Amino acid sequence: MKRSANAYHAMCIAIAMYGVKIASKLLVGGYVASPMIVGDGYHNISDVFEALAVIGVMALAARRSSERFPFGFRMFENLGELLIGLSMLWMAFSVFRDAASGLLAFAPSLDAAVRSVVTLPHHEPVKLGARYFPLVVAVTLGNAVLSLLVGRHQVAVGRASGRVSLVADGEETKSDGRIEIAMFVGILGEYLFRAPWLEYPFALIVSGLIARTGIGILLAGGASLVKRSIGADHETAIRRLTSSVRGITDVAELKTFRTGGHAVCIIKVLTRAPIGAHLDLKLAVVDKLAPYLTEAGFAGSECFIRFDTPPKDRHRVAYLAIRQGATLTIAPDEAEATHVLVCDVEDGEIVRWKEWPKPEDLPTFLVEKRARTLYVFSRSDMGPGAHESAVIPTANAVSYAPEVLGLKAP
Amino acid sequence: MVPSIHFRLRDTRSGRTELRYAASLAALTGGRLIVILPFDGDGHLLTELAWRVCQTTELAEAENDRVRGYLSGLGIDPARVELIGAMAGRPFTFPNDAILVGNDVRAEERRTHRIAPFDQSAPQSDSGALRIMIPFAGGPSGLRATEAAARFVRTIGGTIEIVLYHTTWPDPEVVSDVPALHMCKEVRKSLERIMASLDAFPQRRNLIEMTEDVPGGILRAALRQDVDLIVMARGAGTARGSYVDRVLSRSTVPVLIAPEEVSS
Repeated sequence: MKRSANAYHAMCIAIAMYGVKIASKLLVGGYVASPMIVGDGYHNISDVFEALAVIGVMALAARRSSERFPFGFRMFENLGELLIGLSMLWMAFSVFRDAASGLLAFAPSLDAAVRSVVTLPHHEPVKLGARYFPLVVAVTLGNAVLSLLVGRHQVAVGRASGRVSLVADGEETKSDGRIEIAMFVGILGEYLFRAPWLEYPFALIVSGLIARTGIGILLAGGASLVKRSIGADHETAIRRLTSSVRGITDVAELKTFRTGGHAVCIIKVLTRAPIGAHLDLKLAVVDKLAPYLTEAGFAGSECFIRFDTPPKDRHRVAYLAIRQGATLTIAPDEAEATHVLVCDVEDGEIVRWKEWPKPEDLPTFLVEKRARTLYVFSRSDMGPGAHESAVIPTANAVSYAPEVLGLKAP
Repeated sequence: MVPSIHFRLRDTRSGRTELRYAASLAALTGGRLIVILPFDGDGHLLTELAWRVCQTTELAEAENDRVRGYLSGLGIDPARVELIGAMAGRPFTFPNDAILVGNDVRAEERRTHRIAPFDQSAPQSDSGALRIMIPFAGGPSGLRATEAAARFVRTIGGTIEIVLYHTTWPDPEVVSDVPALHMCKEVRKSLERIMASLDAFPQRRNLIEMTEDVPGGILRAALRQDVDLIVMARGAGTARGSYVDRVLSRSTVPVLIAPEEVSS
């Protein structure tokens, strides 16, 4: 709750900041007759509506999950990211366009040629008298510093509270600050060097920075909306941490995605542990993954873990045996054998076996029973398939004692 | 005293895993690996078989050759293994220094140290340090488990960490979330005795939790702490539902069970 309150508090500070900007730019811009400053003030009005929209997104995203919406509404944060990313790209384009038209104004013939192809805004050169300089510097530089400070605060609070839309809005606020610094450079250039054109190349650089940040935010938001994985590096670490829990044989499936600032992991693990151990294993996996994901920058994580057993490799084998009263021994060959033990094998263990009197037609019997291998306890130099029943492969058992072979007495 | 590691040969997937664990344990402790081969009592039959198999009257000799080849195939040096025959249907007498490795237990084997490795093929995790957990309570079973653990770890070189684990019921008269403050007097005394007996092992720490599920608490803590071995002893007088059995029924961490009567 405290982290949520901090997030809303940060947005209220941002709205208050926009109020100060709007008032200062409209008043000072009007006083010094600067359409550039006045225009920027009107732009800040739209920023206020955007800030209110971010608050709405945060409130929606904070709603609890339900049966109908099991993953909750955190995805609204990513939608907010997407929209802010688009807004920043538009901002970058606008700055680039204005800076380009400003530079073209110094080359009238080129300017005319470009304008015949592309629509550019009417360029208003900066013309501010020396007497207005301190006031204009106070407004532009002061607002730039305010934007950078409030933007940093939004980003910090957004990261701490897992509010990606707040982080995105903070980046946009910082971009506003960079634009205001570009304006300040232009004003400084005009006052100190009679070179107001200094603003334009600086603004081009700023537009590039804003575009780069906007693309990053846009891609992050878009990736979350299409449930892209959180990244191969993270998934490798998740697999490693999960497999390190004693009792987990392997990670058979892993799906990850981001919702809001949270990571969601859907994991299928293989284990030979009994069902009674599954809850212990699940909690152990969560205990390992949660700190890792928090350290990786996710505000939280949800792990959905399901269990399966390793492939069982079900098959049948047969043993030739000698039954004498209560004693059962593995036979050296078919001639000595009195019985055949047909065994069902699962995951390397004999789970069922049945004793048959030795049939007259052993090869046919073995084929009917689908035995994969026939075992005897014979001379070591007898190679595979050297047995009389060479229809299926023959192998030497390690012992003549059924108990050693896993043939538990009934 | 260097232990002898005993293992009843079983050629199944789980048997091979347990055998590898036993071989690694023997290498770790510097002890002998003894593989027990069961045989039945029909001497005439066995002699006949032996003659047909390898022209010797000693079937055991034939089987031993086969088993040595089998061990080599598993990457275990047969020269470091002793093969012993055990008559089927009769209890095997284990020496005092024996540790029996195996997930299945026979009633007569409760007087021997036993390690149930579950599905692990080596005692140590990759980090190299051996981490041992000893659950304890107010009774003497914790001290017996500690003695079994201490005897075991004295044979091992390298880094050993000991985690003493206890789950306590909440004391309604204690207003605190700190589990250690809810321990009763008996448990505190038990802890003092255990700590005193582990003076030789500086790398030890206590882990006290409040949970109503004792076996669950032990296992979850063991998994969380990446424990290599849990050491337990059966409490005397538990009529049913021994924590040792309940842990064994679902542990994926190897468990060393102290003998029911401590061997001198």
